[in-house]
Amino acid sequence: MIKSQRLDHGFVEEILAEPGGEHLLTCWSCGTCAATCLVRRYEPAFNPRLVLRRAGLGMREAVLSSAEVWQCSACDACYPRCPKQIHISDVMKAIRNIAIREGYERPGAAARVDTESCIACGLCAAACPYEAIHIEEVASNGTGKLAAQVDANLCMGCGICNSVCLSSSISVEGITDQVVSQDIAALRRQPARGALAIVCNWCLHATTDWDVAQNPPAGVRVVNVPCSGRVTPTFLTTALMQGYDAVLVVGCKTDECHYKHGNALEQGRAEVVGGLLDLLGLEPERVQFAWIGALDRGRFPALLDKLAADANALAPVHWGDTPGYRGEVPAYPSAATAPRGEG
Amino acid sequence: MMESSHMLLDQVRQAVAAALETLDGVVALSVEHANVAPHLFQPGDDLGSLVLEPRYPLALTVREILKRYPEAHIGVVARGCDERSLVELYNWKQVDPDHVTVIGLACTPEEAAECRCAQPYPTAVAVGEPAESVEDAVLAEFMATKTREERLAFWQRQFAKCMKCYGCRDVCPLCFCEKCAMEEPTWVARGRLPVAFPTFHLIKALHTAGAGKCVECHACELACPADIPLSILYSLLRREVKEGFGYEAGAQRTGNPPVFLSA
Repeated sequence: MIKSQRLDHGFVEEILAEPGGEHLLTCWSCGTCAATCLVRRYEPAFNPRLVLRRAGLGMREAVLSSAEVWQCSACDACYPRCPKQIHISDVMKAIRNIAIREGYERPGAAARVDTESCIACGLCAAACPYEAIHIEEVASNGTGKLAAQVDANLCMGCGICNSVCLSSSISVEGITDQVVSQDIAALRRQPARGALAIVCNWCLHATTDWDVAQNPPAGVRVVNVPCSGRVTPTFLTTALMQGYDAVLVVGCKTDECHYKHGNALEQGRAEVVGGLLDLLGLEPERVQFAWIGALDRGRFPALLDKLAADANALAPVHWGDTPGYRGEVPAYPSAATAPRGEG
Repeated sequence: MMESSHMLLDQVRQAVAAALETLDGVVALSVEHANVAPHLFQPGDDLGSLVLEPRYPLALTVREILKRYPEAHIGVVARGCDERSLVELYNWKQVDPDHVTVIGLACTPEEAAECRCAQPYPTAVAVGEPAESVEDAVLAEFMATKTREERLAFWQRQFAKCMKCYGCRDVCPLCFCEKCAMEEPTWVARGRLPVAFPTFHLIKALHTAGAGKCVECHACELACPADIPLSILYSLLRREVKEGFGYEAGAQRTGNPPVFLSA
């Protein structure tokens, strides 16, 4: 129940005065934002309409202490659809700024740094879409050293920092190298041959596409990651090694990334991975990439069907130390590298 | 030939002696009991043990010394590849360029041919004559002469020879991580041979050449006791990085590591 004596009009004034919060009171509460919101798929409790409504009523404590104000990742899917043209992610940001000033902290996993192994090269800081990472002096082993530090209130948990870090010294709980690779391996424990699709959390806009991701066609397994930019080439070759005949990475179309530029990072990797496959003598269909935009509804099922067909048509490769593989290896290539004591 | 290489060595020793008048030390190769290793020559040291061969990357030695003694100002006898390595170490914020003086050494035409080096000299040459650029046709030849099936069989055979000595990583002037992905149990099973194809070798290649760091010094290939032709793989990644992202390792000081691929 909303009690009028607990409403705080000063809170409304504070939001209106905060950059980005100016249009709070123009909201009609029509709910179009909620209907188009991608976050709701993962956080059904998240409802941008309600956040704005509560804020507009002056429910200071309820709004500032809620997890919801931190969940909007500024993908702006709602912005062009709002009949009042409210830039809702900016309003969210204004509310977050007030929350930070009042000592509230973002809930949920933010990137964490292993300061012992961080070498302060600054690559993660340069790659972070939210400028949440800075190189700072930190205490380590009783002395000081430079290391990456994360502002948890700015981090959106996309894992792009982890994907660029050469020593995995920064990671986000739930999407660490170990967790994602275990997800991939766990699916593979079924004996049948098959293909793997690694799908970003935000590129499927149609409910029917989403349903197909939940129940993929026979022979295809789907693993979700927050952003295609999280997918390193090492994940892809590891998946092939574990016995998937083909791997597909699905991310957002150019300029439509939920995390601003994570897909651009992956598109660059796609080029290089193509060249690597060719050099190694692997079929180009082994690793595929697809970019799905807001207007590409219904394209996803066909991509999975093609993936399954391609995987089926490819001959299995002996990866790693399978018995037949070791047998093909000549004992030693030349006298120069013969083991000591035998020459 | 013998005569000219002695002359070159004398000139390097003179240049180092001159540099030691103002610097805290100079990194170069030194021979002791027939073993050649990187060494920090300090003012007053006998330079008689300073040698130029066998070639060994020196950039990481500079990093180690400056990490321990950040206030020091040291010189380094640097070939073209050493200087390019240092440029990448500056970009990756591993060495402060204000504390390093390069004593540039141009490689001989024979050395350039042996390394198939496109730029066998540093930007400022203190000793030696810049040799002609040598074209590295290994990658093009490999792609032109082998079918796809032959390429797959080739790499499976080559990578299966690997005994996981980590020599390619340990010698690499641009492998400076505290924690190496090639030892992460997530990617690499411990105590198992042959190594996983192709992940193990791709991690090294992607984390150096793929990250825009490989300066084509060929040290990894020369160090490999199994004679795995790593430079074919690294040439390809260098080409992809250059064509796709317009980045050439060691070509310029940007002050930041390039974000385009990684891991």
